[in-house]
Amino acid sequence: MAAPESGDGNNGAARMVTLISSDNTRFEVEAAAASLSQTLQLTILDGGGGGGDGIPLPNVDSATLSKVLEYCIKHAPAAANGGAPNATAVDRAELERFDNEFVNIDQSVLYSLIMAAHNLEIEGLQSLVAKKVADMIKGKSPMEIRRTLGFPDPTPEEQAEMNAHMLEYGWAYE
Amino acid sequence: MDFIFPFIVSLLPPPVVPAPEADSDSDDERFSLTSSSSSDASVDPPAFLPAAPGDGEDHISRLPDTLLSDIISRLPTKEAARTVALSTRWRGVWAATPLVVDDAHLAGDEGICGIPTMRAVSRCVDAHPGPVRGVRLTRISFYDHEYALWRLVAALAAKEVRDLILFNRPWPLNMPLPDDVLFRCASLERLYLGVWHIPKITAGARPRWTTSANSASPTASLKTKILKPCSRTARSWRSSLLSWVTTPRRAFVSCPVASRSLWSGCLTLTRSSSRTHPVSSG
Repeated sequence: MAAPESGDGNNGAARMVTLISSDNTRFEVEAAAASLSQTLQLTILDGGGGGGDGIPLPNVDSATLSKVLEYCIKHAPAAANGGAPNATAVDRAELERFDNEFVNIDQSVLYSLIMAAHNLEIEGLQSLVAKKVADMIKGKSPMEIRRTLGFPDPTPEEQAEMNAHMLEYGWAYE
Repeated sequence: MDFIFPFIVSLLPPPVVPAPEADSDSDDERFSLTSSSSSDASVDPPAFLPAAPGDGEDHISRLPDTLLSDIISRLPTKEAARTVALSTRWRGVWAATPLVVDDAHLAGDEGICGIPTMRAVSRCVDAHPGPVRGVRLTRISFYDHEYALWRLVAALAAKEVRDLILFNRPWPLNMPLPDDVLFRCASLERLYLGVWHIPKITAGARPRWTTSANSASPTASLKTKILKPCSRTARSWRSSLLSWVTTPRRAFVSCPVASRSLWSGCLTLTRSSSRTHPVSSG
């Protein structure tokens, strides 16, 4: 059934959907959690992903997908309440704590996550990771940013360009 | 009177990107990356650091420009501009990311008004090709920078500023608002003004908000609300501006201070975003 009100947990057992990662691992999750993804939501509303079918996600590997779903499962209840006007401060603090812990991970995983969030259109996750990466850049000089982000050492030309930039954009370094 | 201003400023919409001091929660420090030696808040200017051995893999480069842009859009003004130094690609991404300028990100310790802050704001806007997503200036006493202010506003108009908070720090109180704010910034979606002498508006001249290219209905309602009276005299326009601002429905900060010609308050233009949702062809 493609009723738009599928967000409310109507009766008893929640509807489950199956997602298949690029390396063919199957993940079974509640439809409400998977629906945090705008992309998946359409498929799910159309009745997809149930039964034996599963929704293939050729761009997301299993490690990333399990991480994405961890986020979705945690955030699904709040999202179902439509931004949760009745959420308690405790709930919100708990979500915030979860978010902080959640992005406390290796950089390469962060980038896989933000790519997946972007492809699956999970806005909250994308902005969470983008904010994390922005925080990594804040308050650093270009050289420190390069090191933080794991750029290779600058070639002499790149170094000269950086120096020229820092002179030209002096206001950004005052 | 000085203690009033921080209060008024606190009633303005929050910055698009919080000021660096505001959100440096210690949580983030725990996240240690390839270099752990960089927790120093005060970064020395052109310190040409010796190259450190990176792991040679910059994973971030596999992200598409849209995501790099998303990251840059969350950085304070200064730090966003520093990414330009990273590589040619980042330079392009910064230029393609709508600019956010907040003088709280640029001000040093010199407090209100500083010449360096005004200069930094001007240079920043000059360096960016536009569009300008948001400008929030609440710490400058423009009286000392009148020419720079006019140039800045002209540049902002040309670069299609969408959101402008222009809060002048008196004294004196009769600092004229540059005409361009009212007449040339056609792309404005929201405007907050504070402590300005509103320029004379002659019968022929009309604020440019009316002539927005894609005039959707919200713009039309805006027209009737604010701009209709402007066909009358400047004074009635001015007072209608004021009364529009003080309408309870749109109760934003409005604090007429003393003199009749002085208008201190905030006018908001909230043209609802006319983003069209592409209809999926499926």
